[in-house]
Order: sequence, then structure tokens, then C-alpha cells
Amino acid sequence: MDALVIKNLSYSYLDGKIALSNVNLTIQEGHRVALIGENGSGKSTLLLHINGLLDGQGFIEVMGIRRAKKNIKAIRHSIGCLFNPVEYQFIMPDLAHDIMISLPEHLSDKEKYNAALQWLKKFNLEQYATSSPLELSSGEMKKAALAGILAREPAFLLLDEPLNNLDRASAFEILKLLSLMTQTMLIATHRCIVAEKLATHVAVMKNGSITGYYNVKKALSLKEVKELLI
Amino acid sequence: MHIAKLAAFFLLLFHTLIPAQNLQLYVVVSIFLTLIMIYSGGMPSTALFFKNIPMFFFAAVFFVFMFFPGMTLSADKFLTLFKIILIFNISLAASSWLGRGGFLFCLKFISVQRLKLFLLLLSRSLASFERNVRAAAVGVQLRIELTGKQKLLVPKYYVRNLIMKELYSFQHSQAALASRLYDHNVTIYARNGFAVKDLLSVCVMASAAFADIFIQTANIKI
Repeated sequence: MDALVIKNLSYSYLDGKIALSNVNLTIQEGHRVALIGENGSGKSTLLLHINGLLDGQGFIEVMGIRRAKKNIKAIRHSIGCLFNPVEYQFIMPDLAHDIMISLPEHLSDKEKYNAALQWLKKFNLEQYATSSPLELSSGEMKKAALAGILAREPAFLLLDEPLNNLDRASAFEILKLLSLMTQTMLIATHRCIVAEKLATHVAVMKNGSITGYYNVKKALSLKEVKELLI
Repeated sequence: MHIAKLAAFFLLLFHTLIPAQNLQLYVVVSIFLTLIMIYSGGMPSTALFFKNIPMFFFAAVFFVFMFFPGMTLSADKFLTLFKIILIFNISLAASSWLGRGGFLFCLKFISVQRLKLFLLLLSRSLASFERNVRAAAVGVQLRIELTGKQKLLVPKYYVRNLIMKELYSFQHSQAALASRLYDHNVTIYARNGFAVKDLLSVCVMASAAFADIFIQTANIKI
């Protein structure tokens, strides 16, 4: 099954600047795709379209649900999105409550709180349950945001620069956590390590269009791909 | 414990608003109670000083206006100024004294989801604004030699940039709300913590505020 199908997607900002131009991309379920490209090539804009936060011209289907106004909730239900910058992703004043808003509605407040603590434990963040997300370090903040989106158990993960501002140890920790997950992923990144350790495929974006889609082995042998990664 | 703390906080606020018959007692009790709240809340004195800078400015303007032609100096005006500064400091101290748990406890009683979200985002924005101001101050020190006229560049560029950054952040917050709260309500599990320090401060504050309110309103001569 295709987890994501995008056909002829185009989008321009209000000032007329073209952000996406005729984007075509298909991702199969279970694949982890590293979306690479220069700054300003349209990676983040594409992720916002998939999540239904921007509304360009074209066809988008996520987990078999076609993008339309009436389907936005269903699409968002199947997607977990890690934004960049990550600090604006947090809604609640402490970590436990921030994870609670992602948990199923039928649970009682106490059950939600205990489940949130379990999620924090998985990410080694249980000592910060009552701390503000803004008090955490960059790496901890990324892990906390990730815990918040995974608690909803989405089928598709959109990750915008998940390793930004992280040191080597934190980056490896996040990669290890992500590699244990079975969800389909689209990861906007500049980091070579994401392609090497996590991705199964690489999509190359240039001037608002997808210019190449390769399996990771082939991608890492190409000069145009290597030049885009650090 | 949150209820007791909230009750003591409101009693203290009410205390600042009563007409003071015995001024010296009123001032001493007010300062004493505010200091208890500040120090049991764990707010460092430097943080308190910096947060009070807008109040110093306000007091200076208030003072200058009192010397304008047609204005008269009176004890009542000084008392009003004192009360304004006091209420500001009580609110400031209460934020650290009641803490995040107290804030969540208050939110639990709000049934309107939109209002709850507004208050959550407002508190988050204020916290991030405070962080950004600190970051901007460091940026200013690194990039501009703060001597003489150079100081004028700070409000000219950095304040504008700070405000633009906050406005830009609304877009991110909106995206977070749309993608995380599309069909969920905000739920709060307020844990009811208990600490001897808090109990003592609540008892002292409530009894002192209540005693002073009684003395002031009954006009008992001491």
C-alpha cells in the first residue's frame, strides 16, 4: 500500500514566490524517506502540505485518505509531525500534561497522567514530568516533542530536521529511538547520518520540485546527493 | 494545598485593597506578607529586581507627574503608588509561589476549552518572550558596545526584532494546535502536593492578612 501519494503539487506564497512546483512523490508503507535539498528548496513547505496546514494546488493522499477539507481531521489523525523549531510544538506548561493531550480521550485524567509518565520513561525523561518543556536542553526538547507525537500512535511520521542542534550522543539516541519504530517516515534533513542509519530511501528536492528518488544505497553513491548532506 | 494557597493569595490581594486606617501597620504587614510569598516561592532576589524594573519606571513617571502645576502632593497618592507596586509584586510572587501545579489547578475549573487554550498559550508566550529578552540582551552585549548613543540602537533594532519574532511564533503555535489538538480536549490532572513549608507560609499569611484586615476595618488603635 502507498502511504503517501503526491501528484502535481504546486504552491506559491502570497508575495508570488514559488515554493513548490509540480511535486510528485510516492512513498510505500513502512519506508523511511530522507527528504534532502538546499535551504529554501521547499522541504518544510512540503511537510506542511502533507499535514494539511498549507493548501496548494494538486493531489495528496495520506494512508489512503485523499486530501479534502472534510478529511483533514482523518489525515491529521494518521500523521505525527515534528516541527522545526520544536519549542513551539509544546502546548501545555509541563511535559506530562503535554503528552496527555495526545492520549486517547476515553482514558480518565489519572490514567492519562500515568500513561504520559510511561511515555516519558521510554525516552528517559521521567524526571522532567513536572518541568516546563522550555527548560529542557535542545536534545531533551526534541525527545519530549517526539514522545508527544508518538503517544498518539500515528501511522505516518513527518520529521522536520529531527537532529538539528543536537550533539553526537543525542543525535545517535534519537536515531536509535526512531530506528526502532515501524511507522512510515518522511524526514527533512541535511544530515548524512540520517540517510545512513535510518532512511531506506532518499528524495532529492531542488527549487520546489522532487528531482530524484533513490534507494539509500544508490543515493549515497551519487555525487549530487553527497553534496547536499553534511 | 492549592486551594489553601489560592485562598491565601486572594486574601492578600484583598488586604492590599482595603482602606488603611493605621498606615504604618498596613505597610509593614503588606511588605512582610509579600516577602514571605516571594521567598517561600523560591524567587531569587535578582530575578525579582529585574522584573520590577518596569515598576521603577512607572513610579518615576508617577513621581514626576506629582510635581506638575495643579497637582498636590498627598499621602493618599503615595499610598496608591505603593498599592500598585504591591499588587504587581504579589502577582509576581504568586506565580512562583503557586507554581505550575497551581496554574494547572486553576485551569482545571475552566470549562471553556478556548479560554483554557488562550491562557495556556498566553503563559507559554510570556515564558518564551522572557527567554528571548534574555537572549537578545546577550546578543546586544556581544554586538554593540553599550556606550553613549549606542544604547539607542537597542530599542531601535532589538525590540522591533523581538516583537516580530513573537508575532512570527504565533504561526508555529497555530500549526502545533492544528496538528495536535484537532479533535482532543485539554485535560488536566492536578496533583495535590503537600509541603510543610507551604502549609506554614499559608497559615502565617492568612492569619496575618486576616488580623490586619480586622484591625484596619474595625479602626482599632494600636
